[in-house]
Amino acid sequence: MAANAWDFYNEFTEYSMDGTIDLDADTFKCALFLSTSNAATLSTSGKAALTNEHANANGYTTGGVTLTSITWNRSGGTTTFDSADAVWTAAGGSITARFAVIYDDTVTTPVADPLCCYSLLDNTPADVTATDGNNLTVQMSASGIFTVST
Amino acid sequence: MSTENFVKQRAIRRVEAIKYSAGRIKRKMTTAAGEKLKALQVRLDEYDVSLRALELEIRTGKPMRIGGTVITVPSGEVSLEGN
Repeated sequence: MAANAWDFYNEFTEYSMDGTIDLDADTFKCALFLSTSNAATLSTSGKAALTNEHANANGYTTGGVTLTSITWNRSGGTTTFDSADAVWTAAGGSITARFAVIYDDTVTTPVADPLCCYSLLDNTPADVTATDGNNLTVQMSASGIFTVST
Repeated sequence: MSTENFVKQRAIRRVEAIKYSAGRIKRKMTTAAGEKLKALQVRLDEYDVSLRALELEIRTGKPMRIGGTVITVPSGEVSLEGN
């Protein structure tokens, strides 16, 4: 099982550069979506436009989890955005997902919750599952979630 | 049986009884100690797993979690390109 690298939504290039998305101040969330979701459509704008999020059940709460320990650090011509892992504990049933999406939970205008990036969690492609009582961990790369480089 | 022999026989029986009891205690102690040892071994194994996770965490700077499903997502890249 290998996940695809984070891929970026079209609006992220605009909003991250015009200051709408503040990478070192806003609250970011990671949410899980089903195989039937449009999460892989990069032209999608705003979290509300994404379809088929994981049900609000089995240890998953709609909207996903807040990313903690966010860092936005520059080294030379490369700046890295990173956070602690996103973890869900399946309770009362399994958590099954195809996509993880990171979005900005702070911004309300010009679009609420602009989308940053998504990952296909198993590039077979297939779903990933954590059975009851187990963790589903979206582990961020040791190189960070993404880098911006010149 | 003379009084002397009776006392000797009683002493021998008592020694045998004590030996038997000592054997039982020893067997019990061995079993208990074995169980304790097994429990310690399990804990030691857990510590070993935790230690390896900690070492990995220190090396990568990333928190590691044992068990469940872990999906490592490779880093994305945004580049700035001049025309």
